[in-house]
Amino acid sequence: MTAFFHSLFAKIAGWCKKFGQNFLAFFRNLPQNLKKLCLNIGRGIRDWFLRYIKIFREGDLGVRMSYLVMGSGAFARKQIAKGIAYLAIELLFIFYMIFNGAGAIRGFFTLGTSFTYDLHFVGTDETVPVAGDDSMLCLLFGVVAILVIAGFLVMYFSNIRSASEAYENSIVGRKLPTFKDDLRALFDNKFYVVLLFVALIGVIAFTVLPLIFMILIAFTNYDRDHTATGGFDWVGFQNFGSLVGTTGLSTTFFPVLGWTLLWALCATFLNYFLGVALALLINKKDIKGQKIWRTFFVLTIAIPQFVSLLLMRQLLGEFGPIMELVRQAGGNAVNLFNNKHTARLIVILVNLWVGIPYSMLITSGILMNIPADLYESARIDGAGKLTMFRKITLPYIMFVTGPYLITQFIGNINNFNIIYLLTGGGPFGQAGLSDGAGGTSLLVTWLYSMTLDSQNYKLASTLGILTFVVSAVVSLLTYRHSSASKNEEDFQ
Amino acid sequence: MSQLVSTKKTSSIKRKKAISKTTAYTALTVLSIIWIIPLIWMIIQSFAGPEGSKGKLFPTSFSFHWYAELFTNETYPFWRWFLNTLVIALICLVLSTFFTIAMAYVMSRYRFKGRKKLQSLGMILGMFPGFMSMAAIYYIFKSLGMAGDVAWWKMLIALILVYSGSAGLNYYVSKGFFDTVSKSLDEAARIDGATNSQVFFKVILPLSKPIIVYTALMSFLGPWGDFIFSSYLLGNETAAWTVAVGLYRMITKDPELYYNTFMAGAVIVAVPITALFLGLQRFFVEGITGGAVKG
Amino acid sequence: MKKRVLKIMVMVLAVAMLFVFAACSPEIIYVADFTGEGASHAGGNTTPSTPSTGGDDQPSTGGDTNPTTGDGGTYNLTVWCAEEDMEMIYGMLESYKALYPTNKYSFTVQPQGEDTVTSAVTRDVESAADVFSFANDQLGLLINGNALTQIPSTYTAQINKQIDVARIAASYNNSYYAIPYSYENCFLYYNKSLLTDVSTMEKILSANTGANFNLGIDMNDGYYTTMFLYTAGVEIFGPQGNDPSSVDLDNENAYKACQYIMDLHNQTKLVSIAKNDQSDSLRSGRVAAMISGPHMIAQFKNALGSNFGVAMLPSIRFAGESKDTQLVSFSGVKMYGVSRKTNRDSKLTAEAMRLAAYLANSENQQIRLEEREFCPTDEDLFDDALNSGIEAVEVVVNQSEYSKLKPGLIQMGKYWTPMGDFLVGVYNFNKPESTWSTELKKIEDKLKE
Repeated sequence: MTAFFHSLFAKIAGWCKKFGQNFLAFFRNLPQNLKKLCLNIGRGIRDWFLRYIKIFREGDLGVRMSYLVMGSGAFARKQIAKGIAYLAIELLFIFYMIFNGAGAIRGFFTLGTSFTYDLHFVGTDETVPVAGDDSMLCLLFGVVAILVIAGFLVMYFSNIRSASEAYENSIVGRKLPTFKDDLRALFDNKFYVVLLFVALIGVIAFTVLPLIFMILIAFTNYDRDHTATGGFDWVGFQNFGSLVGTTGLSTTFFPVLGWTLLWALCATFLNYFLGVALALLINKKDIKGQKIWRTFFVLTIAIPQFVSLLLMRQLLGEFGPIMELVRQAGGNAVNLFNNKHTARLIVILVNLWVGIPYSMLITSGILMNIPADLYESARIDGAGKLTMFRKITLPYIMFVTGPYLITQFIGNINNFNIIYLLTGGGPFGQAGLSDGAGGTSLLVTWLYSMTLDSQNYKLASTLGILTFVVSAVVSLLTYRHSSASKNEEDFQ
Repeated sequence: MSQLVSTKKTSSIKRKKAISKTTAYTALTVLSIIWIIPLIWMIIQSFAGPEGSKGKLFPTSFSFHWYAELFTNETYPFWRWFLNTLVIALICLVLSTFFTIAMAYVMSRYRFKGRKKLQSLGMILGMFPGFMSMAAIYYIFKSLGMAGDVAWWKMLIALILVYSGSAGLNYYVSKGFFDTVSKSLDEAARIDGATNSQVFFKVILPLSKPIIVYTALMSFLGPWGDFIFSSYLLGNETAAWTVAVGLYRMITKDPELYYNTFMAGAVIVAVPITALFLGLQRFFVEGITGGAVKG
Repeated sequence: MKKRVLKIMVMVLAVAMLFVFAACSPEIIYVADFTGEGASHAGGNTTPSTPSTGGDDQPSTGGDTNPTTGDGGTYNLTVWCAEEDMEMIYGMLESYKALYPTNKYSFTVQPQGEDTVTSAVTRDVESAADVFSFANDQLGLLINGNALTQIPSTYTAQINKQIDVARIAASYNNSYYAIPYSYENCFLYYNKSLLTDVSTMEKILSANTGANFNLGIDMNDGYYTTMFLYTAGVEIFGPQGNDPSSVDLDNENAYKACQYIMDLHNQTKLVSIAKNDQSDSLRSGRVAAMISGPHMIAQFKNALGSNFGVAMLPSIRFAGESKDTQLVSFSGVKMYGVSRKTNRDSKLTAEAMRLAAYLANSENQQIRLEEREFCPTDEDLFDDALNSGIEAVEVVVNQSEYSKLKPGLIQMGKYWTPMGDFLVGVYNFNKPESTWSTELKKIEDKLKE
């Protein structure tokens, strides 16, 4: 066991060092990398223009016509079905832009001009509300219009490229694929396109689109005072300023961020190491009924978290059964959730209760997976049990679960359930914290209470973006070292 | 002499072993108790007598009163929520599993332009707090006529789309599994004249039972635990609620009235899920470690 | 060839998407003629209608040709109310149906806590209930969220029959936006077998009750801690609570209240206890008395049985003062509002309005008084309530002399969380005396924004 912890700490120290180095390197190289990025983008745009100018110059009439009328190139090569499809896209796009898109784009910039108002009936005070614009809908349809335009542009340029390709093929006299050939390929060579398409359409509609939408909200003043039906407006970077700037909420933001990181660190590593320890304990050779022991712990995974966490809250409350036992034993009951430090300790401990079974289960699986011949050959070499543990078991576990730790860390930064269901972010009224953030509030729980309790959508979105930035920086700094990114091809 | 020393040694080793064994068993017992007690407590509370047991260590009497209450309460139609959730979970199981497996297979087997970009995009999307876009999703469904003042079943379809729509992003674990399936199998089938779609459906899928079961299990469990998206999308339409929304509302809005009902509901939700989970535990372990091993 | 297939896929997708988007396109209406009406922000731009006087009570657009039996129309209406009131509301809806036998009604009643109704309604007014009950402090937020229909003059006569506080609570910028039906106050609940004299805080806290705590208050909730501010003489939004320009929080009176709250922490017989734990701790005898809101009556009665007692709030003595001051409570008014849906037929809106007025009328106030011990707001009923023999209601009426109406201004949205957090911080020693002035100033500035 000592050897285990010894090498464990050595590993952790190594990680920390690497992390620190990465951290410094990241910021040291930042200006240089940014410069590189800008240069690359500039170069890319230039090449892109040159390419389409070249295609136009070298193409025949069909190719040139396709710059104006989509599908011309295809018609010129007698690819009728394809030509019709391209043409239909162009016509539909024009139709959409005239009747809808233009208004939607305008709405995107104005976010609505006239809002719900009451129509008064002459001679009475009866009023009828008349629907006006809804800033949220203006924004939504604006985003959709922009996506449609982007999609159209992709199609437009693919139309040109396809025209030029077909032209080049016809010059060398190669046979062009028919529409049928194209369709057939979808289930063979291009089968992945079908699969990707199916899997991604939902992602685009229900993850990407809403996300773009909410990111944009961070640049508006959408809140309780500026509602969707009453109209909100663009405000630029004002919300970011009020969260991290010198005035306003920064006194709350940075302490909450600090606790979020501390929490993620504790939650991830404690869960992991104790889970590994538990797995090693259960998987000891001379322990009988390993499956039964494991089952005891696995039960907490199977029960929905909101149930088990609300249960824990009841159990640990000042008037819950545990404190009741303390009282009956003559002790002094305390409200553990009332003090910042005890509340923090509790969320970490309860998180262990929830999380250890996961890492135990995973480690158990790995322990069973370690190839027996590794041990066999080690035994032949005369290695003792301890050496085998240090040289085989431990590195194997570490290697396999490295990437798991990163995802766990990100997951814990966004770990809403534990905090929200146990403490709701409280205790509130902590020194320095304001605007609904409490002693155990994470960025996400703060975000949630901003959305639901105070309808401060603009700050909630801003907070969401900042949470993302934190996660992104953390994973950027660690990802380079995870085996997953490097060894992708090794196993096939 | 030397023999004496050696027996001493073996007996001391034996003693050491016995001690370590006892310690291990004691530790395991204590830990198991800590892990199990809250659950047992929940079960006991659910069988409390009609006078309830909130704020008490143990109920003073036992009955099935709260289970009866759970299924007869008209304000909170639990059996409906249970059916809603079951249907949603089953449909999600099919859709999400397919999306996830399809994405994972593509990411594992094909090398195409933009693949790396797609992977990092997936990672980036995963780093935003999920419910940040709750309000946006509501508006999207509202403009599609599937949220707000609409029939309850439309809301449920919306919920299914939310749950399964983003399933394609959770492909990491399954991709790890496919990475371990040897590519030579594909090649052999290709030589026999199979198309890629046939390879996928007839060769790879039948081999991937553990990961399919794992993915299906995860997709099935999701809807039982989510109360954030569902309560935002479903509003006050009690007929459309899922068990998570309903039970959460019971215990947070009026714990005095619904404390034991909540416990009974929690037990009813937990029992089948636990059974399912324990039955399929092997796949869970295989799935997640298979993925983790090969990153 | 590979690329071509990809392209075709994308094309099909794009075409499909175009149709979808076209189908759900925005209808952005540019109405030039109505610029005079403008967008109504917080009712600020709508001209307050002068209530029509005299007998011409029928709205010309209501379409109600036969007010006594109905017009044979079909009405689908949704009502939101507190979950524990649902049973009672069903009964009232049945009687309403009976009033207009020729009409066809289909009512949906859904549970919605009155304290969180704003977020539920403003999430999307179009999908909110037609008629909903809410507490008056949310009036401003609801109006600002374009969520409330102004009450037409047909019903001003009914509102004018209510007590002053209720009328103030229901009006915003000189117009009525809701129909009040119940007046509430918080009070002291106590266990009669443990406590006898509950007139002063000192007596309560020093009594030998044998309970772990003699008194419980939810110090995390600004609703309760603000009572100490009021008692010390702080005014929020002026004496009536409806003047947004009058905000003065950073003053000696507030410090006095903070000092008192801080001193409460050292009272070993006082406990800060969350709403959800209150009934249990009363039942088990762990806590002997509780300062809590009116919605807890049923629970506490159930918990205490024959030992259930209610009384006016005790008097308290501020540090350095020689005599006690009666604790001033927050009072509130519950009202029915009609949501401002733009997609609803005006006939249905008129019907919803009539239903709201019906649910709030004096007969139904009487039913609430008898069934749920809700204090009525009808002037006559309110006067009678003092001798109704219903202890809780009598206490509400008595306490009403020492209470301040929860302001219904939109600014209250910025009050509860900051002030509640600050005062519980003071109570828990997290906000030392040196920070009071800056913290109070901060809240003051926010309210003035």
